[in-house]
Amino acid sequence: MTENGQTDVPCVELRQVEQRFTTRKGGNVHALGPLDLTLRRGEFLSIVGPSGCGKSTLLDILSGLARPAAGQALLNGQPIRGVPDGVGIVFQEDASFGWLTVENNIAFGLKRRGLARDDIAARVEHALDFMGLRRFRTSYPSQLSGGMRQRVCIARTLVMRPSLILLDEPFGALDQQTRLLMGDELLRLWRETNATILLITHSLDEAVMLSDRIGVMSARPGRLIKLVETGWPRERDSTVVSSPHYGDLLSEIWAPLRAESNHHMAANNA
Amino acid sequence: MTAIQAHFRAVAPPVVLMGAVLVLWQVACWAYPHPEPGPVSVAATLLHLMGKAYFWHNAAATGRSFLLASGISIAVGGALGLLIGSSRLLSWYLAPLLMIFQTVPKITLYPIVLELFGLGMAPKVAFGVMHGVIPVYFITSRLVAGVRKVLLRSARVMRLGAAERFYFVIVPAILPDMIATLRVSVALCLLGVLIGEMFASHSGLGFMAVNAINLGDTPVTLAVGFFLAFMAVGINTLLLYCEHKLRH
Ligand SMILES: Nc1ncnc2c1ncn2[C@@H]1O[C@H](COP(=O)(O)OP(=O)(O)OP(=O)(O)O)[C@@H](O)[C@H]1O
Ligand SMILES: [Mg+2]
Repeated sequence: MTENGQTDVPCVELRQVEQRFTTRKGGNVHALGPLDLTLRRGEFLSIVGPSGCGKSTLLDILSGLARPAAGQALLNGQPIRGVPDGVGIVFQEDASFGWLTVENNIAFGLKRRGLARDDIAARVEHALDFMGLRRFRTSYPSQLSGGMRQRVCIARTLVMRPSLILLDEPFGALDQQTRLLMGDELLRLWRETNATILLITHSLDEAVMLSDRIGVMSARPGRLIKLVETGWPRERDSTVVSSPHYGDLLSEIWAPLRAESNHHMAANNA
Repeated sequence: MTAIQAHFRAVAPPVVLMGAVLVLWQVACWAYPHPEPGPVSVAATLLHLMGKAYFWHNAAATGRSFLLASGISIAVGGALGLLIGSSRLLSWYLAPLLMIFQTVPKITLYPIVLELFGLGMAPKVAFGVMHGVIPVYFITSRLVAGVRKVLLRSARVMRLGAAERFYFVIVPAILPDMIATLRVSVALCLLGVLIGEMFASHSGLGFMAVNAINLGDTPVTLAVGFFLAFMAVGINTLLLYCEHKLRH
């Protein structure tokens, strides 16, 4: 183990991974890659990139929901075939189950997995506290705001205690204050569980504040154009924003991203 | 507002509206004297009929056929809908054929039904199913195909197999809308059963109505119509109540 709790055993390895789609009209969309990326076990890596560059597509490959069109995706050294055990994902869209209460939404995966009642109850209680949902435990998703529904989805994923957590813009529907607090909670959980986290975000602040490393993707087809090491200690929280290093990091990822976003806008207007 | 009040509010409007229509009709009968009977005299005829054993005998015959036809339509149509809605291949082959069948006026199949089922209860049930099964199938398949993909993807990542996704995600996701479907299709089943009774049976309310029509007995015809309408409103109200309970 290195001093900040990471190891050198790779959790995820992507080698020349590409994804293509056939559209309804028979066209071919090159959505992603070729992309090379290695996630170290126990690290917190964020990815930023222009809209439509293939970030969600990348998570689909990592969670085993989609096979890459080319290249290799390995999890713990094994090719990803089907949905692997120990992977949790929070999707960009609201994925709460409308027919279940908040607590039953959170317990859903645990029940299907056949855990003991007491264990399920304890984990759900913890998650309700953790996500600030206690008051809404018997509410249905339709009675909650978008941000709270997203918290339900985060809780539903985290109670499964995945060792690889994939988060697709999970705080997008939250207000800035809650976003910061949730970030701190996520860091705490990450430290406690030693999970590996891959976070997709549109917020550069969030990426810099939370991550060990930040990957910047190009416009579609998304490739990795920059990988920045933040050098934060494992014990950290949202107060890193006042560190002088913070601004440097921000500009370091903004420069390539700005160029890509310009490129992307120009391409879409052509 | 209590839960009961809320449920009541969901089911009361159609009942109120029906009452209002009856009142208006009766007022119109008083205002413009007319040979056709108004609601009050129809109600009197109905009350008279309801004192007779043969009326209940016929009502029970219709009820039995209706329940059977609805049950078969829901089971067969629902199963077809779930299968075809979740399989692109099946929907390519079967969906167009089923839609063609739906556009055929069922009464033109009368000789075939008679040939296959003879007279009695079977042809009535067959007519009921022929009317109800395709709508159940069609709406179910649309509902299944419309379940948001992200819900199924979430279930897959939680490692639910196909059967579990079906039982724990697809079915609960479509259930409230399914009840709305049933409201439409059981009405069609009833219509089919009545048509069957009019043409292929010697019992049931449809048979009674067609007899009264042939004898020019308007009060009895309308009284049977009234009774059926009350039944339909009752069933509809019950289903509306269930639907309301299931929605969150
Ligand atoms: N099933 C599909 N069929 C065709 N094209 C697709 C499909 N899924 C994604 N795409 C295309 O692939 C590209 C990448 O999509 P993706 O959703 O991964 O982008 P993203 O980086 O997550 O964007 P955003 O930041 O807006 O969420 C987009 O251009 C999208 O239109
Ligand atoms: Mg996306």
